Amino acid sequence: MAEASSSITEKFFLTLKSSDGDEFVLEESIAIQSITIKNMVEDGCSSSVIPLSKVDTETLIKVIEYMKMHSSTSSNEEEIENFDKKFVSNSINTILNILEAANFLDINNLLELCAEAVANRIKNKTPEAVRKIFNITSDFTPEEEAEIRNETPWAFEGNLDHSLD
Amino acid sequence: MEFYVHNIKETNFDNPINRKLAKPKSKIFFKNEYLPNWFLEEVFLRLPVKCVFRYKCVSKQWLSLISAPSFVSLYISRASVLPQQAPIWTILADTLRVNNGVNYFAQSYLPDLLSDNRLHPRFCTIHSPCIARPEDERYTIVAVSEGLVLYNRCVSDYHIYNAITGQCVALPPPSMRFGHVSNGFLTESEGGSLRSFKVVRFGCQFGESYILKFEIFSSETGSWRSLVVHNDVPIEVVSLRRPVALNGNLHWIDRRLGIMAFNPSNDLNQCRIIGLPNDIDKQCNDARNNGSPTLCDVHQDHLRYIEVSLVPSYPFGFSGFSVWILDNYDSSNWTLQHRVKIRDIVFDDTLISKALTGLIPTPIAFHPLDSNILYLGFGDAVVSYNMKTLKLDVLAARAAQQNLWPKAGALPASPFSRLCLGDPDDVPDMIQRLLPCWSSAFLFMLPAWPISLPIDYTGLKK
Repeated sequence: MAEASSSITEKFFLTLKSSDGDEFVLEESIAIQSITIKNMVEDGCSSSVIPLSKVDTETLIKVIEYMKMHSSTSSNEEEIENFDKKFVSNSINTILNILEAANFLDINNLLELCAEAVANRIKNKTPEAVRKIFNITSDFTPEEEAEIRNETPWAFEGNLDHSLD
Repeated sequence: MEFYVHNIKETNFDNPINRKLAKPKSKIFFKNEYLPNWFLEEVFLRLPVKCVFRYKCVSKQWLSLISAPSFVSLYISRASVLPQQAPIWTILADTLRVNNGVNYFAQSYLPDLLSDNRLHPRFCTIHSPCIARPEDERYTIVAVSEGLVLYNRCVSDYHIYNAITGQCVALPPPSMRFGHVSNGFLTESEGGSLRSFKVVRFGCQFGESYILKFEIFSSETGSWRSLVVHNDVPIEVVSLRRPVALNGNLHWIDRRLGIMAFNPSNDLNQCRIIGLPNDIDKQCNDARNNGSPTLCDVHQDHLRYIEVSLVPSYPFGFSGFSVWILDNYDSSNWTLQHRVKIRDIVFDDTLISKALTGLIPTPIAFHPLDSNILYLGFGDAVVSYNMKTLKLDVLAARAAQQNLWPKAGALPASPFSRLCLGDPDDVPDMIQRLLPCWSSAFLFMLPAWPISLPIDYTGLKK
């Protein structure tokens, strides 16, 4: 029995529902790259639609693209590498949304890919440029900021990147 | 494999992808208060340490996250597994003397430093802390530990210099006068901060002696104390070699007995002797060779003994390499890890001609991550020996060979020349180049997180 069922690969499908209400049907073997979904499947919650209240449609489409590429047996390493390169060239807003989804869905590889992409985006920048990229307003007084800078002058030496790219 | 898209809003069925793209983006999740801590930590862990320190001034949230001891511990532990945080290290040797007597450090080998812009050029050049430098005063590095460099000038003037931060503290002057001093440096750090350190001065004597004289500086007391050990067996260390630190002990090679282990933290009136393997070449540690062809090194928490055998093997000046590893720190059982005869070593052309002149290599250190790679000084070059391929390769030859001093702002032609470049203005016109002293060269590795020097000992100076 066991041999017979394994030789005929039976495909199970799951339905994921985005926060915008859109539903996506996906092969279970692909979806369980998400530990969150895997746990739900193992707990028997997968028969109905899986609501992903924290992931919007645009982000979910990206996440599904990623999972399909990374689970497909037909994609070779080079293909995956090229896909990842293109994937992280998305805008920083998109990357941040994907990162948040990857955290919620518990897809470690995707989380690392996105965290790496964000880190590369802000590497060697000035603090001012970093604030602009993340839309942060400084909550330090000028005196407080000067004090922090004076504590570690070595961290501010060299050619720093002022651009927002 | 199918990828279905449904729209459950029954009223008008359309492709949600198109619909979504047509809509203005409504979700802004990263306003100031919405950058969650877990997200920032994931990003910080992947940034060079210099960026992490710089971004402390982005906002209060960033400052408190980066300053948290738990984050520092996480950063240090993750640095060893993230490929982009590979350790930065080099081999340091005093190879240049400037005409006013100030020594510059030359780094002989820079695997990542040059191609990597994550660090300030300061890291590429470690030069003497410029403390008003009168004529004829020269600083030498006497020890390194956890990215800290111990400098010594005129016997009594000790400074500890942090190569990452540029911070420099002076120690109060010691009181004992020795004919020849061998200096040891022990540090104990946790989570990026220095808990304590000790500087040990050992008075090397010519000829065997039962009486061993030490002077120890402890950061806990902020002062020096002298210690005289009446040993059961007479000691005469190879004065050319600096002691290595392991398990809070310092280790010197004795000419006859093996390795002398000294613990400056306890007052046991005895030094432990760790016997060496029986089949070593004893002449390496005799008065003539003074330990130049041997090395006691710590690699991956084990003591190792490396020997360039001097048994003649015509026409070469040496006959091969041997490496032993001490199985257990409390034992004296050594295992031969590697032995090669000179005829089996694969030399490249420039090295074979050196070897044929009778030149003898001096072991310096193991590759910090790969125990199959050993670095040796060979004439004016640093060479690597690979125990798997038996190949000896040149890594860096001296800038002197190019007969050119790099101009200010010009890109150095070889990694080696870069080393000598401090601030270009600091380099005087007249430079006397010396053959590197490989027996006092160090493996110098920067820690993942800079160790802060908490106390300024100049305050204790009288």
